[in-house]
Amino acid sequence: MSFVSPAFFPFLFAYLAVSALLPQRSWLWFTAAASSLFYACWDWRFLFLLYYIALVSWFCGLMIHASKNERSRRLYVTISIISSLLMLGVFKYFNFFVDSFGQLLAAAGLAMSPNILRIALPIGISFYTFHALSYTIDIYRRKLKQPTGLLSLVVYLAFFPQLVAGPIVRAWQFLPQIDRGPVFQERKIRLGIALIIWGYFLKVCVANSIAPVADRIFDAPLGYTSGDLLFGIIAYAFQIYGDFAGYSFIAIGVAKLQGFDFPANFLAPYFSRSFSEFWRRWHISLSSFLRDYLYIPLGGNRHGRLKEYRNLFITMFLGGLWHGASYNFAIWGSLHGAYLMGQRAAGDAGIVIAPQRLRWRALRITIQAVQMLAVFALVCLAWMFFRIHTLDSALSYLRQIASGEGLLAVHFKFQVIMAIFLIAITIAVDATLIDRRRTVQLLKSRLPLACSLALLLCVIELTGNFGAAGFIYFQF
Amino acid sequence: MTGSRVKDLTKLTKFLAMVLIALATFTLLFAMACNATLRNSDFRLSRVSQSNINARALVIGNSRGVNLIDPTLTSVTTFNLSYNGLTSASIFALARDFYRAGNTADTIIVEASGLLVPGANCELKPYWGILPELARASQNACRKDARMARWFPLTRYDTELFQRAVYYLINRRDQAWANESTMTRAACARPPAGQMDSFSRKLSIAQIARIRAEITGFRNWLATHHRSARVVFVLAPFFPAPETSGGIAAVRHEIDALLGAGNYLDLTRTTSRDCTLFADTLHLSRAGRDAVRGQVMAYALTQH
Repeated sequence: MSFVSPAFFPFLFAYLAVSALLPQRSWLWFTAAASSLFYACWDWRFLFLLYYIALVSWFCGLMIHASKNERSRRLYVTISIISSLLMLGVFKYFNFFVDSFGQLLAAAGLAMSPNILRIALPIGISFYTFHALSYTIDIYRRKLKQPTGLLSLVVYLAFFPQLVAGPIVRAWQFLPQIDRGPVFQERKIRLGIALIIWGYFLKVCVANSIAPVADRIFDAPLGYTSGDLLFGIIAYAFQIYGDFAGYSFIAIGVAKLQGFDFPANFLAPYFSRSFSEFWRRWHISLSSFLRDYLYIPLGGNRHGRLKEYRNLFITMFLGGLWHGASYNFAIWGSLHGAYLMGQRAAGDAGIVIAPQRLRWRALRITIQAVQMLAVFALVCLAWMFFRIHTLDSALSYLRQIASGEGLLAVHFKFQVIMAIFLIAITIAVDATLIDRRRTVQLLKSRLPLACSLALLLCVIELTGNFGAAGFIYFQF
Repeated sequence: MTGSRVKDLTKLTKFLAMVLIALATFTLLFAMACNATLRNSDFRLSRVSQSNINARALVIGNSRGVNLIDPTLTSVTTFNLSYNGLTSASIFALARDFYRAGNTADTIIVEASGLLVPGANCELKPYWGILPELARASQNACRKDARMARWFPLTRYDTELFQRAVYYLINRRDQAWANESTMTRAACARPPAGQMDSFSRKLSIAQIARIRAEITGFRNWLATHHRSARVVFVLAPFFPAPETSGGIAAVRHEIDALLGAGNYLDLTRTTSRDCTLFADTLHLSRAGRDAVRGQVMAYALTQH
């Protein structure tokens, strides 16, 4: 079951109706059961993996809290980190490393047939292992004052809106809300409904409408003109944005219906004028997780420029690998690492222009637009490597663009017009979201909000493609 | 229930009512606008319902039909009613609607590869309201869409077809719509695999019998209602390369089974491997259309 499958809404309404009637303790049991059912719709066997991770994290949390000295606290946090990452490693990365090792031996002339584990990837494993890590590390860092009960922890890891593809909500943010239980608040429900409808628009209109064209171009790029291939990259940039941001908005909205506050996961990322800004707007819950649990522990920017560059690169490289065990994700992460390093170096060298200091408004806006376009272009380049699974194919894609053959002759003229229309709506709403004051104003005024939502629902009916049920980030 | 909770519940009910009323109003307005668009557009399917087409030849088929004849290039008055992915039942239903609406054409040229996909296209749902034969042909195959459209009326317009109708409401040059690009050098040297797959699948005996019955049924209907009109079949060229030859032979074999060998104009045997004639492995380019139009028209008018 996913947010766009037909069974989801009956499931959600039934869940909300029953939840509203239950006292706190029963609500915990009921939510754990409902979330397990939601997960079991994909593969019930992996529920045991989820419960196992919950059990280990709960036990380690108790032990960290009970430990009197730093050494044993460190021991238990290490056990919990290793056991969570071990699961992630076995299910997600084992085959990749064995395969790569086999290729390395073959290149050296040694034949070897590696034992590949033919097991499916448990859906959402990257997300719930990070939730588990957040729990024990937050107790270790004393951001969580008390370890929670096992049942609350299971609800934290398995809570169905965020179980499969995030957002990665920190334990210190969500566990106190779980322990308090759902709250009925008209303002939050209104906001939740708005977020859900916006999420659906991004998924079924933007992502699902663009996906068939982007897929056709990426599946056989040599058959298309340079213009087509350029459109393919831009289309994919908005497809993945619509798909993932759409999921996140729906997840945050569903949580809001029960009064739970999840942090924002996307905030108009393609409006970014620098790469650091991009990462403050794109998959915010992952980038802030990596910042707090990897970049800062590595030393952050505290030990000189060279170490800062190293830390940036390692963080982004591992962030790339978090998406999957594949070279394309490693290249994608490395590219973003290189972008951040380049930006920092350019800042140090005084090359970067700060448009806010300029007096002329027209010049300021022009420079800001150029910066935005430059960041978008380089982010798109990285998306191409993200989408294409082999380096050879990615390079031949780039060669085909560089050939300039049929740069202005686009096969999908009509789809381009449609995509521009949908992207324009996305950009217009993003431009509103970016202005916090305007967003708050819109959410407060009921009639304009109701009309905007009704209008958006009509656009969803008119342009939505309900055929594709999956989300790209489910595979991570 | 506490006082604040009751107050919240009232506010929420009012808000939801506002959304529903606005939704109903917008749906009604949008539906009216969509219907007016369909009726007034210059898109080929809309033009059928406007009953003002007077052509010597009517071309109908899938995207290969779209790219077979460009009416703006022919000296014979021609109307191209082809649409991407058109299937056998939809082809004949549209042709019936064409005549029922009072349009005229002496010869119907059917691009035959569309016959290889049995059944009706649910994609054509925006036109169910104004093309009755099409609606009838889609009844069984598109029940889910019909049910959905009852609850959410605007979903009837959520296809590319409707978006094209909007496009040709403003940009009124529908009959010139065809592929303008040519094959890239890379694709010409090494045609991408799999493009023939949608055509070279094997039809079952039951499917062949059903499509044959549709062809015979249409021929009989034409003989009864429009005695002077004739239908001819043309198989447009595929890009002739070693990579596609197996697929082309399979298509030819299936078309022979449906129409009988020699009962259609087979252009797949005579085309040269000139990349400028093709937009991709399945579709002719502008130069390709120019190269075959004389042959197709001569065949169609001779048969007549």
